[in-house]
Amino acid sequence: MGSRFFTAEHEALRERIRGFVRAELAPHVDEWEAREQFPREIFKRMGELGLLGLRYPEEYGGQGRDYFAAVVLSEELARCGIGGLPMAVAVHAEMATPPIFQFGTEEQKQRYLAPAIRGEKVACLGITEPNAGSDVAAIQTTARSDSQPIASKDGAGWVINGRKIFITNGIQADFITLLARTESAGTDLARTDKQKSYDGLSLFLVDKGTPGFEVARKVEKVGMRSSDTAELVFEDCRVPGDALLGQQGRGFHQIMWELQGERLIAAAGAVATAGHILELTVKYVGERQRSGGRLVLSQTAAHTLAEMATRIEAARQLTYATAWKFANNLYPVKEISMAKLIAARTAFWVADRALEIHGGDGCPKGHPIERFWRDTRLNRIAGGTDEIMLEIISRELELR
Amino acid sequence: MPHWRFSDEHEMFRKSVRRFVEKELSPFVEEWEEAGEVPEMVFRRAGENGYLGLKYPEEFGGAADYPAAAIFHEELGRCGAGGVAAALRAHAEMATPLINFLGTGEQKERYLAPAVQGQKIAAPGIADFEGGVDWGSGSGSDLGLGLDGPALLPAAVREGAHYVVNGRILAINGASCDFVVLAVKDPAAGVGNGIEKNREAGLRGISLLLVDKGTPGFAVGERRPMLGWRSSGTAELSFEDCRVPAENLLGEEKMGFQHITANRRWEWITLALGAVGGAGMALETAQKYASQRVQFGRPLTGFQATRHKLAEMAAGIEAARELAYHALDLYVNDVEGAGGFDATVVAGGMGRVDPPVPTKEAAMAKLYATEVYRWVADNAVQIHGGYGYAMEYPAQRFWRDARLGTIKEGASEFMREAIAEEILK
Repeated sequence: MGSRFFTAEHEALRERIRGFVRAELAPHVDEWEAREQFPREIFKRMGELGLLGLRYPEEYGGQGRDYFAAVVLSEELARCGIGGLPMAVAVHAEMATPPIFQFGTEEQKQRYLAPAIRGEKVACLGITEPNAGSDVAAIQTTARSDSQPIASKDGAGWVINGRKIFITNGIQADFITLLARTESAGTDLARTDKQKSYDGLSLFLVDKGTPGFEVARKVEKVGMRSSDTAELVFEDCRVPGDALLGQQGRGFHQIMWELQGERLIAAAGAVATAGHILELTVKYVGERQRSGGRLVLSQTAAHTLAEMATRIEAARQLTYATAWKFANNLYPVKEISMAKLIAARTAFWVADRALEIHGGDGCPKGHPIERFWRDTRLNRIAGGTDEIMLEIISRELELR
Repeated sequence: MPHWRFSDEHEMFRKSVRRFVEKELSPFVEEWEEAGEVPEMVFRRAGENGYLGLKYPEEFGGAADYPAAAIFHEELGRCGAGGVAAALRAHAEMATPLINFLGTGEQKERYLAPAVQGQKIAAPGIADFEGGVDWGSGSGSDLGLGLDGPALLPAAVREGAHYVVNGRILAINGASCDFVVLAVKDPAAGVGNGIEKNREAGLRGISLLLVDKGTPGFAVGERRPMLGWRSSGTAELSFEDCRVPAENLLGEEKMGFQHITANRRWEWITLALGAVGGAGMALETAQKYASQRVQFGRPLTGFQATRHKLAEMAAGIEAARELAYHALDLYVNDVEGAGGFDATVVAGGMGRVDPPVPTKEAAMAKLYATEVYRWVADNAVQIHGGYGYAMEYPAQRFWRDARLGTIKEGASEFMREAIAEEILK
C-alpha cells in the first residue's frame, strides 16, 4: 500500500485496530444498525485502546502520533461493515475535539478533551441549523450576555438560543462544540454586511444537561443508521463565561479551520470504504461467478471492477498526497476540497456499481452492499456538499 | 507547495523545464503542426539541456533521475501540441530506453550517446499504435503495443552477417529520424492471423534491430495524416531487402517482445504524466478564456455552471497527477532495486510469451490520466463555445490531441482488461 506514508509503527497500529474491528465491532453491526445506535461503551472501549486520541499529545491522554495514524484508524474502521460508526468516531475524535485542542484553555482541555480522549465523554459538533447548512455565516443561533441584548461578553455568562440539526452523536453526546452568533449580523442577514456576519460568530462548549439545552428529536436517516443524529434546541440556555472556546468573534474562522481536518479524514474514510466495498465485490464474484471452478465473469463486470479499482486508487493517492501536505502544516485547502469531492463521489459510485454487480444478491435489507450504498450517499453531503467543494475549488482557482 | 515525492531540486528543475517549454516550444507549435514534424533543433536544444538522458547513467549525460524525467514529460505536456511532446517522448522514453537496457557498449556509443545529446533522432518502430490498419488482421491494442501477433511487423531473415528486412511499419519521428529501433518478426515463427497458437509462436519470434536511416532499402514513406499529434512526424517506414548488420541486433534474438514489454510501464507512466500536463494546460486555457469572455453582462466565470465545470476539471487532473506520481514512485523503487532495469517485468516475462501485466498502478495511471484529459479537453471546447470549434483557437487541438491518449499504447479497454486480470487473480 502507501508504504511511503506508513511506517512499521503505523502497520502495527493497523494490525491492532484490524483485530479490534474484527472481534468487537463487525459481529455486532447488524444489531446496531437495526437499533439505530451503537452502544456508548464503544467510545469507552476505544478510549481504553488509545484510539480516540491518536494524534493528541500524551499530556491529555493521547498517543502523540502523527496524522497518518488517524488515517490508519479511519481506514481500518471502514472495514467494520457500516458507515455510521466510523463517522461517529470521526466526529468525536477529528471534528468536535480538534478545536478544543487548538483553541481551548488548559482548563477546557482538561475538562473536555482529556475525558473525550478516554472515551468517557462523547462529543458532538453543532454547526448546521434548520436554515443554515452550507452557508455557515448565516447561522441564527445566538449567544448573548445576560445584561446586553446582543453585545460582547460581559464576564457573567451567555444565554444561548437557537436550533441545531443533523448533529451526529447528538443523542448520546455529553457536550457540544457549538457555533453561535455573538454579534448581530445586522438586520439583514442576507449578506448586506457579509464581513460582519462572518466576524460575529464564536465557539462554545456546552454540557448536555445544562438547563435549556434539549434534544428535540432523533433524526431518522436513509443510511448511517448506527450513528445517532439529533436535532438540538437551546432555549435561554445559560452557560458561564468560560464556555467560550477560543477568541470571541473568531468562530467562523475557527470552524473553517476545523472543516479542513474534517474533510480530509472524511476523504480517507470514503476511500477506505470504497476499497472495502471493492474487496467484498471481488470476493463475491470469485465465489459466485464460477462454472466448473473457472471464473466466468462477463467482460463488462470485469471492466467495471477495473474502473472501480482505478478510481479508488486515484482518490486514495490524492488523499494521501494531501494528507502529507496537511501533516506538514501546508494547509492545502484546494487539495482537501478536491480529495473530499473525489473520494466521496468515488465511494458512492463504487457502492452503486458494487450493487449492480451483486444484482439481487445485494438488495436484501441489511446486506452489506445495500447498506454501503445507502451509507456512502451521505459522503457527498456531510462535511460540505459536492457543490460546496466545487465552490471552494473555484475560489482557490480564483474564478470569479 | 512541496510534494512528498519531489525534492527542492526537482521543483527547481520543473521551473527550468517550464521556462524551456514556454520559450522554445509553445510559441512555435502552430508552425510545427503545419509542418507535420518537430525540427531537429528542438532535439538539439533538449539534448543540450540534458532533458533526453535524465534517467540514464552519468556516462550518457544523465543523472539516473527517473522522477526528473517524469517531471520533464509532465511539463512537456503543457507545450500546447501533443505531437511535439510525442516526438520527444518517442525518442527519449520509447526508443532509447531499449538501448540503455539492452545495448552493447558499442551500440550505446553509436546510438544512445548521440541520441541523449539530441544529435541523432530515434524513432520507435515497435508497431506502436498502428497495428491492424490494413497490414493484416486484428485490432491495434493487443497487449498495449499494437501487436496483434507479429503478422504486422516487417520480416527479418538472417543471411550471413546480416538480417534482411522486408516490410512496413509506422513510427513517430519516422520522417525525421536518424535511426529506428525496429521490431521485426521471424517469418518462420508462426505468422498468426489472429489465431491464438500462431500468435503466441509469432510473439516468440520477434527481435529488435537498430536500423540507420540511409541503409539501402530503408525508405521513408508518406506522413500519416492524423486527427491529432500532427507534429509528431509519424510516417510510414518501408524496408525492401534492407540489409542490417547482425551486430545491430538489440538485446537477444527472439526476445523482442519481452524487451519491449520491459519498458512498457515507463511508457505508460510518461504518457499519463504528459496527459496530466496537457489537461492542465487545457484547463488553464479554458479558465483564461472564461474569465475574459463576457456574455449576459458578465464573464463566463461569473456563472456557477462554468466555475463548477472548471473546478471539476481541476480536481480530476489533481487526482490523475497523484495517481501517476504514485505509479512513478513504485516504478522508481523497482528500477532502483533492480539496478536500473525493470526486473519485475522482465523476470516475469522472460520465460513466457505473454508476460504478466506489470504492476497495475501504471495501467491505472495511464487509463485514468488519459481519460481525464479527454474529458477535460472536451469541457475546454465546450467552455470556448463556437471558438472551441474554430481552428484559430487552441481548444480544438487539445481535444484532437487528447483523443489519442485513450487509444495509444493500450486502449482504455485494454487497460481495464489488464487491471481486472490483476485484481481478480
